[in-house]
Amino acid sequence: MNYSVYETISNKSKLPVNAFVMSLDSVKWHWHKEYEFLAVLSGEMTLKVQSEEYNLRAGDFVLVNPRELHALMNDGSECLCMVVQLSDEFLLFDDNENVEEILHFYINSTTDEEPECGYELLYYRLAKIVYETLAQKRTSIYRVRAQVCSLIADLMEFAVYDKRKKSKDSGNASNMVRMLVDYLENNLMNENVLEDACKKMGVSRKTLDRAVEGTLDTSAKDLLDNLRIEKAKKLLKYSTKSIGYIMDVCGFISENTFYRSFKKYTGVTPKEYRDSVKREEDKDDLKGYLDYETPRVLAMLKEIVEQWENRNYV
Amino acid sequence: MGKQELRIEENWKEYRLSYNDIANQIVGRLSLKEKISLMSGRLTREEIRSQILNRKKIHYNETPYWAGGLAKENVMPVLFVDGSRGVVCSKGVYTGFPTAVLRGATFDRDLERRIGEAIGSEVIMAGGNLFGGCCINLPYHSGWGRAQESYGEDTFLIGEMGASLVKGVQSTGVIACVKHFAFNSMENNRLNINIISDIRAEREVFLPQFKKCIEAGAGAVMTAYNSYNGEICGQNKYLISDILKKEWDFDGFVISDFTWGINDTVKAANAGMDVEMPHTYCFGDALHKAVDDGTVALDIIDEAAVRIVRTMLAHGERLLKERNEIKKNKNLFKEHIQLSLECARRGITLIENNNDTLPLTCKGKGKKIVVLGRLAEEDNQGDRGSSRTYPPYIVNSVEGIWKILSGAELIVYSGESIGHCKRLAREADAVIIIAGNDYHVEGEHIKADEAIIKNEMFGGDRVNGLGLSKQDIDIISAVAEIRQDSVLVLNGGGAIVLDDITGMTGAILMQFYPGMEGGTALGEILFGKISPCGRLPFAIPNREENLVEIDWEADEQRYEQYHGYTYLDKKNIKPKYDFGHGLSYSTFEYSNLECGLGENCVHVSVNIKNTGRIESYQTVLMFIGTPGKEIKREARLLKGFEKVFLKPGECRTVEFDCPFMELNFYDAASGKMKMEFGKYKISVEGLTGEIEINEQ
Repeated sequence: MNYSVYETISNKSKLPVNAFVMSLDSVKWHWHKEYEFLAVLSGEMTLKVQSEEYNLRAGDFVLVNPRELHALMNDGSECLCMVVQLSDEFLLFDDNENVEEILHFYINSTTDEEPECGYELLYYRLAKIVYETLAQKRTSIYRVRAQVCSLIADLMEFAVYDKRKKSKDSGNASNMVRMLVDYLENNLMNENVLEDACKKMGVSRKTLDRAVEGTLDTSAKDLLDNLRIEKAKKLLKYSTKSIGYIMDVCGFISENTFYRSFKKYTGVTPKEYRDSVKREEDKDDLKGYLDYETPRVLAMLKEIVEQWENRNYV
Repeated sequence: MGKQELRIEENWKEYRLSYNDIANQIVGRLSLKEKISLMSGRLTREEIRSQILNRKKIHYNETPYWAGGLAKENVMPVLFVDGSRGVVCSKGVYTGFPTAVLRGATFDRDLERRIGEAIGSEVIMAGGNLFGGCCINLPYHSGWGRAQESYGEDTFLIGEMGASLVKGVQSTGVIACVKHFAFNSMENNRLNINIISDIRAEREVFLPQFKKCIEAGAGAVMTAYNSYNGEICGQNKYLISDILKKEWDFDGFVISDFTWGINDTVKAANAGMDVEMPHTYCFGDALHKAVDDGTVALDIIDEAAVRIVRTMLAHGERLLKERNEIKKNKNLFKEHIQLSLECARRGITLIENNNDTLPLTCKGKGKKIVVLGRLAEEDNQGDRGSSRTYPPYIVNSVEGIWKILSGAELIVYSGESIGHCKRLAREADAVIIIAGNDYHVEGEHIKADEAIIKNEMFGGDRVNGLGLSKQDIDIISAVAEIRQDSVLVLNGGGAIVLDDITGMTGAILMQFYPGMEGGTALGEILFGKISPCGRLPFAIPNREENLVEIDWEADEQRYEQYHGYTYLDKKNIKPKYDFGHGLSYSTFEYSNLECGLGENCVHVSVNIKNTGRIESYQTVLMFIGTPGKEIKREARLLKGFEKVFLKPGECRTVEFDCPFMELNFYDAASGKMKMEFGKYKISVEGLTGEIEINEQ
């Protein structure tokens, strides 16, 4: 998984979900096989799913379906977002060598028609799942499992969903872009990684560009920049490697290009970015980032859960 | 050996009667108690009830139901296997064939005979010796819940197909039991309803198909639950003794419909009921007492015993020989499944195809096929009452469509949200809507108390009308707002009235309940691998009010002479889709209609040429209009059908021989069937001719 923040909190043992809260900076283009709920607790963010783009505020949430390419970004202000990834034990999709078959849900509180059970109920269930996961009580594994089962049952009973089935070799654009993202991830340091990818996949640059454009509504070059800069940000933030080294492993050909792209993308220079992160960490001198945030996040979640439960006499 | 086989297939009656002397000798040695023991089912009431309700995880007829039998005289018990679309026994073993109504739409006698043969051999595999699934009732109204179990609305068609099934089943030695004798074509109130009819309708419309199956050699007949002219059919002397056994000279035995088929020992025995199924209630000790009391004559018991014994001996011997052959065939089920598929291919009927919507061409890479509807992914095999089969697998509509695609993406949605239907209709290259009925809407009726236990109401007649459900109509209308080239695929056992959705779709396919390989056949037809060639075995009216009047909950209902297409003809109402309507991807040209007289028959021949670009089966129908001078008669009646296979450009001559007997009418004055002299109008696929039959 590509999320970095808070991931350590999630208690993966015996839980049917990977649930956590992240303090959002930005998340690069990526895809995975899990269903993923993204629900905003506070602040604001932009979610890109394939070629669609949504602005989400506190209370909004979206279900990202398996294999959909997505990326997150925000304008730099603080944004807390719940993430709930469903394990594949629920058989909502069938994945074998030749065929992929998934239930595709249409859950987006900002655009899709509200399911009969209401968006509020689903938001509550997400909050409860994350709260119980973070609280790590003795009963948590049961509470979480119960909520996840209820959540899935609600989706299947009330939400709009269809079943999508296709051959893996059907060579559609989404497939190609997913392959591309995987390839780029592993070969960012190569200067001509896009050309290499074309060779590797046996398609022309034009076909590749068209596929990326059609799938993500962005150019292949921008996709590559996104991946490179997100990697650079990660290294700037969590490592002490030199900027020159970082520039090289991320595949920027010159310091100039690196600075220009980084600034265009984040609004600051690499050095400024590293310093700002450092400052934030310094604010909490002893306990470190996670422990400082957890009680606050738990309090927020508790409030959401209790409000709903009081109102609904649970 | 070969010679004997031929003799058996040609004349089962003669063969059974050759056991008459041995049977008489055996029966002569038996005590009254032993004779009566031959005449009853051996299940307990509790067993049958719990199986119908599936209480002990054993489904209805999971194993054959046992009646009679005498080990000491080597008389096999009756081992009853139910069905109609295959063998009901076991789970995951026996082949699921299309329902009879689809088989009716094939208009293919040879195919039906082969299906009979396959079912017969599976009955043997299941340990049975009698197939109780030859349902040949005539649906007086298309809303009959079990219309799917018979071959459509035409007496001639049902008779021909029923007789083919009987011959096929009995070619394996298994007894073919035809049902439900008679007038059983209302379901909800089947235990109480009294059907009234007159002799003419009886002899011309509702009974000829039974007679034909008896003539084909059927060894057993099951009576109906309903009453006919005031007496329940299981105790109806007029039907059982006078018509079936005397007039038609039926040599086999009569069994009761289960549990409620008879209710009076004396009446049942004296009417000619031979075997009470499936448990002993009216017969057994009660029958013994009736004989002791003198209310039932000993002769009656002896006759029943002889009928049972000679039938079981004759069929038993043949069946044992067949069993060894059948068990040797390693490919038996594979062949039967192939046959089931072939049948679905020939029965699915294209009833509308505007602007050549079908066949679809968009099955390759980058295309999106959207399938909508609650039934899209249902394993919709039809009724879940006594005809329910448990095949090893079922290819439903979506799976069948998936199989034929080569790279296209398949999107399946149940259709609750109209908005989402529209969204999908916009993004799709083709939209297929699976709509119509399932076992909830039509099928064997489960009584209210049983329904409560099962927590599910289902089956029965289509009391809420012959139209589509609101959900289906909503989906079709929503898609029609986006595009008019969607393909509507209908499931059902009878006519579905489509006045709510006129003009909203590009093509309409009737797939009935197409069996375990139905989805495969559907996919092949939708995407043009084969051409559809089924024809509707019933008329679909524009509006339900165009059909005969019926009251499903009534205690008494009259069956008139006219129903279905003959009724529409009489009222001069043009149906939406006529009886026999069915389109092809190819085109055919008919020419050179010749009508003449043969030996005791009308001889008709016609040339048919495949003028299209695709090879296809095509059904050729021949209707005859009688002079109707002596008495007012039907404007036309189906009197011949043939199925031919033609390559593009190929031409063939199709011939029909219609025996004069088929043209008879019931003459009230003489009380006999009678030939009418004068001019008969012949019509074959738009060509018309005339033939005059005079007294010779």
